[in-house]
Amino acid sequence: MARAIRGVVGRIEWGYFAAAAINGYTVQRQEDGAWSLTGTVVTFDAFKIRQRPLIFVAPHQDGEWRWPIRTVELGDGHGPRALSATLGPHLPELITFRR
Amino acid sequence: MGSRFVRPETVKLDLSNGDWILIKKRLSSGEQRDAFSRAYVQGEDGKFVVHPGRIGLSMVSAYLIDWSLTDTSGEQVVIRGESTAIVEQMLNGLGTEDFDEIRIAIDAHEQRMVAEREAQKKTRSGVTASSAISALPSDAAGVLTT
Repeated sequence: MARAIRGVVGRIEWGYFAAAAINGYTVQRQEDGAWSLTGTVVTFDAFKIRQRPLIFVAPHQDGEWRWPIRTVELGDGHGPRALSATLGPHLPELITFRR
Repeated sequence: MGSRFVRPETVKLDLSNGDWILIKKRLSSGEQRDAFSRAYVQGEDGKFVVHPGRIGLSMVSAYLIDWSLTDTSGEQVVIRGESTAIVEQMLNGLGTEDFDEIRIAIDAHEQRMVAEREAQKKTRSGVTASSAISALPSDAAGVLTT
């Protein structure tokens, strides 16, 4: 059974730019070792979300987990949109020691 | 010719005493407009005027991504990922000379980038001028015979 990481606040970055803000996400490791991301995008920049490389950032108490995004799909329509992405191997964790 | 879009490239600039700042290599048009708009305030007559005290601050906060600066207890003051309003509050806490050192470093970087782009434009326009040279009149077959 694949383990899942669930969280509320996440974001997608293109370099130092915020490409999308995510509210509610699930990161799951598939049986073939690949990572998948599903969630809800609440705001995004139409230009930046089309650029590469994109990084998915999941903040936690002492820093951030980060994954490179391989493919990303956004649902249609207005307002919050469904997000579906495939992720590359987990990047080194960023520890910020925000206290 | 390369893309006209600004890529999120960064430059690390050294400050005195071993400190450093990490800044955007170049602002996008949107970031530049946001910086200008933060420098304006609405006067009593309703018109917007440049607030002298915000000119340097708005440009510094537009460029600044990260730094090595520490607080009085030696802890790094985190600005990476913070909103512009928060970064400006941190900047407002600096000593005047220290803020000026950052502002001057960023101003100098901006001038270097402007000079670099001007040089690139000249190179590009030189190529355009060469390719626009008309053909010799002798090559205009047919036209001279009418």
